[in-house]
Amino acid sequence: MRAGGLAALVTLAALATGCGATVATTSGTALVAPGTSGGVTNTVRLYDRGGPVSRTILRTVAALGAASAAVDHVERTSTSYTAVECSGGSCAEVTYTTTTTTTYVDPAKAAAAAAAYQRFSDQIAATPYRDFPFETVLDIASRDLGGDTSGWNVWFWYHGSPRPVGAVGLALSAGLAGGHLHFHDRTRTTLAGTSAAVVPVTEQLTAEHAYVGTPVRVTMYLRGNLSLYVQPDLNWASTLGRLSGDEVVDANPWRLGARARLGRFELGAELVTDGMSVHARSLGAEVGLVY
Amino acid sequence: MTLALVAAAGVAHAQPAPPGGSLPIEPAPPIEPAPSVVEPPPPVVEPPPPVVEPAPPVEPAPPVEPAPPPPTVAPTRPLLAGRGAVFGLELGLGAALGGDGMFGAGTGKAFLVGYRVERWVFEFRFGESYDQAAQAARLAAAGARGPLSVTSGGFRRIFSGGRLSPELFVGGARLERPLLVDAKVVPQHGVGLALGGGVAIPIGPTVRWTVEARGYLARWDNPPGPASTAPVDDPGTGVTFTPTVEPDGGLPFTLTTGLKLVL
Repeated sequence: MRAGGLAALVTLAALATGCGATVATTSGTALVAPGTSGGVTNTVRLYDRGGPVSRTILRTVAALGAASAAVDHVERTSTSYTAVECSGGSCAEVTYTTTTTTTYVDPAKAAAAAAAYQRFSDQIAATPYRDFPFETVLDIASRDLGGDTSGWNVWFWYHGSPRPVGAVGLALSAGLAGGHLHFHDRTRTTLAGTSAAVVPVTEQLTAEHAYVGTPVRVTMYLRGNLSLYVQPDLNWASTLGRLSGDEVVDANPWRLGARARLGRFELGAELVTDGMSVHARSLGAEVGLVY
Repeated sequence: MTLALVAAAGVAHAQPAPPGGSLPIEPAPPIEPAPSVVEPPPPVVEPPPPVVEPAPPVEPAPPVEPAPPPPTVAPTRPLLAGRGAVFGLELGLGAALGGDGMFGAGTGKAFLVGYRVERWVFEFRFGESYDQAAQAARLAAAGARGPLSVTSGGFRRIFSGGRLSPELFVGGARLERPLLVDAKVVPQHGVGLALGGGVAIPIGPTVRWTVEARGYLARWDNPPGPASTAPVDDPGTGVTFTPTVEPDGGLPFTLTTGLKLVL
């Protein structure tokens, strides 16, 4: 049932205008704690390059902005009342406070915001698919696909236009991302002992990778629809976890990759590392149809 | 047609009308046709029928050479003139020369932002870390690794050159390197002087490719507890060390390459 739904989703994405679907396999030790064994992650990756999802996300953000711009002022009023409550033979005076928030909309501001939203929406609608600079990528990992990983990642990208630099083109992209992966049945080796002697200790576990990222990508466009990229990625989930004192995996993914297009056919290879460490790296390959 | 007109002109010339008209009229001599002064035209030569020749192969037009720049000096900004922001991204290696030798060289990355005034740049380097694994194989397999982290700020001087422009960097840095204390990787902190030198190659109007080595003279602050040094790997008993409360931090250095956007 789940595999059938996934297959239907992939087929739909592969055929829809502005969308695409690929399958990817990645093997290595990236995104897990030091001493954790490597494994294989197989994913289905759904792309929306200027398609309906990316446009809907932009329209939603614009609508929220328009609604915020229409607000004239906000009033908060608090009312309190006191009641005597008895329990177990003793009574106490309890004060309850109710806070009411009232938002007042300025009709003139609302009209202006609605007009601005409409212009923005029309501009979105009028932009052709291939000129649309926003992209949404949903990565679905499942053990049903043969790997040891389950979970998901999602990216929302803004891709800048390439600028010629010498014989190549350079482009900067920035985005927001999030996700959560479980790496099942891995083993982790740690050290136990003192500063004079240690012994390795191994345990079996399901490693987790939480991801709230602000990735940035520098892409170098070569000839023949070939591009290379480097993508540093600040993972706020691990940064905030480390600041709060939790024992978390300090995984800030960095990705070095190459992509090639042959019509709608797309190939990719990617090296994923934690902060460019050679000790925490995974190598992946991807193939599929993308609009 | 040409001949007839010339004959009529010859007749009029032979009998001019006298003014007054009182002279006796003599019988006019027989009019002889005026000698023709016009040679008969050569027979009209019909133009030969046009010979249709195959068109010569069309050769591609020679590339239009860009017009040479005018001899006058254009008001363009010279390279590295003025002032502006600098952004950079670097990849490279980091290690500590000497020291306790527990952790080897690691790969890593760095970001930088800066502000340039002509050939001087004040820059701040952040997010710089190189993941160092323990040199002993069993320790490395057990995930005994930690980052050589550097946060630095300082001044950079860009020297003029041809395709390669040398650069020097001097500043201060806060460092962090891994130590093994009681079977756990903990950071040792330090502060110190950063010195660097490298070269930059312009690959565009605002983009430079850089290669640079930096060294750090650091004063280290030791964490509590003895640190493990001089590992001896015994398959039977595990890994043994010589503990010390004053581990030698050595001389951290980095070798990086990257791209800088110089605005």
